Formats: sequence, structure tokens, C-alpha cells
Amino acid sequence: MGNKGRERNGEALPSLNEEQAHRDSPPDEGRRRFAKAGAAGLPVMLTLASRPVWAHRCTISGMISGNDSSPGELPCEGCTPGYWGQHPEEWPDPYSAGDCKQGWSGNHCASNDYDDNGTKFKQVFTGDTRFGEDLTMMQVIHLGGNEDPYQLGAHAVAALLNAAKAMGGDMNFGYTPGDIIDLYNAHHATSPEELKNSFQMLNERSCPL
Amino acid sequence: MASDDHSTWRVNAGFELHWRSWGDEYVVYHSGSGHTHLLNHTAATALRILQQTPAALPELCERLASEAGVEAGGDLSGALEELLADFARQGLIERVSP
Repeated sequence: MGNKGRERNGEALPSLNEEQAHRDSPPDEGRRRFAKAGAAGLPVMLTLASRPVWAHRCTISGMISGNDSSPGELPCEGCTPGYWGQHPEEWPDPYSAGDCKQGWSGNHCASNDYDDNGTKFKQVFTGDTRFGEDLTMMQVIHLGGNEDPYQLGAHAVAALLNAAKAMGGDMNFGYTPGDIIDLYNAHHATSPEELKNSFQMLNERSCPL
Repeated sequence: MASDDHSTWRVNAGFELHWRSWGDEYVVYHSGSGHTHLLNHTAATALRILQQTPAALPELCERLASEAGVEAGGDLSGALEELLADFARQGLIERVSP
């Protein structure tokens, strides 16, 4: 550790744009805390939540303000839980749908029955209190209403996958995966129906895939 | 979510971390959340240790004191416990099942 310069791990780092970064506290105060704790040798972490400059137009507030579409601009987009549940081949890295237990019929997974090898829901939505430890994101999409009230889990997964596609430049969604995770962790227990409605609004726009 | 002395932690196995450093400051990008984190040398050392091998709080304190050259003791343990809670909230680490 302590190497200067880029560490390559098979992928290039995204560029950091301080104008787009959201900091937890004003820059001077955060940096002072960082330096002060660092001087004492104590560990400190600051989190920079990234958001592309163009993204505001496709956020909920952007849509409500009527700024979500203008002539010449690409429309805001999102795909539903139903789409993601039927198209595991489209899942963006680093998220995995897992394997079909009963075998494939063409591109269709029989009984929508996926194994435990996919990305775990709680691994991503770390503050979740609704699901078991081993449930995968794909398994959550296929839960019934009793097991996933309001279908909040399914819409959260869809929103996350849409956000990840947007990070790769394949969709105009308006939020980053981190935004969706933060929203879910903060509100899933206190406002599940409202949160589902918000995700649903984002996920039921035009699906470009 | 707070850590406790009996939990063993490791870097979240499902996602990659991408590192860059300038002097004693480290930036790590988490592929799962899309968030970027700025860490000082001590915090970065802690995360690197957990990336190499799972560890509980007491063991992490000992290794950190040795590898990062910081003074072991109550202040470090308390700060490290808060850091682990932050790491977990950000999805950087996860508890290891016994």
C-alpha cells in the first residue's frame, strides 16, 4: 500500500468530478475533520456520492417540474421488475441473476425459479430489514405480494439495475446505484408504500432494452 | 448498524474495489454502490486488511496498530468500531457467517 498512481484491476477508475460530488459536509469542515483525525492516527472516511450532471432531468423532482423532456433530448427511461425478471442476460455488472433451477426453455426460465448463486439482496441493500440473508435479487423480483408487500423489493431491484445500466451509458435513468441503495436503506421500513410508488414511477418509463 | 466485538468482518465478496492514492490519502471506488470514498492512511489500512483476510475488531486493532503505526488503545478501538459501522453501511464490508 502507499503506491502512487493508478492501481489497475481490470477496469479503469471513473473520473472524479468535484462539481458533481455530494459531500456529507461542507468541503472545508469535512477536510478539517479529515486532517485533524488523521493527525491523531485515527481512521477517517468521507463518502462522495457521485451523480452525473445530466441526471437531474430524469429524477423525480425533474419529472415533477416538467423538465424531463425537451426537444432534441433523449427521453427518461426505466425498465420494470417484470422486464428484469425475464431478462437475466441484460443484468449489468456487477449484479448477477443466478442460474435457472428447472432449466431453460429458449430464453425463459421454467417457473421463474432461480438458484442462490445470484447477487444477494442484502449484500447490496445493506440496511434491509424485510428479507432473509440468502435471498437473491432475482428471487426477490419473483416473490409474491405476501412475501414482498407493495412489491417494494422488486421495484428496488429494478431501480438498482436501471441505475447500473445508466452508469454504463445504456439508459437515461436519473439516479446512481448508490442513490437507490441509500433511498431504500433510509425509507424501506418507515415509508414502504411511498418508496415503492417512487421507484415504480421511475421504473415504468420507456424501457430502451 | 453498529459492529460488535464478536463479529468477524470481511470486504463484501460480491463487488470490486478500485483504489488510487496520493501520499497518505486514498480514494476507493465501490463497484456495487457507485460511491467513491476518501480514506486516510489508517482507514485505508483497515480496509486493506479486511480485503486480505476476515477479522474481528480486536484482531483488526492489533494488526492496524502494527501495520499503520498507530497507537493501540481505547481511542483506536472506539474509532475503529465506528469505522466498521460506516464500512458496513456503505456496503464495503459484510459480516462473516460463523
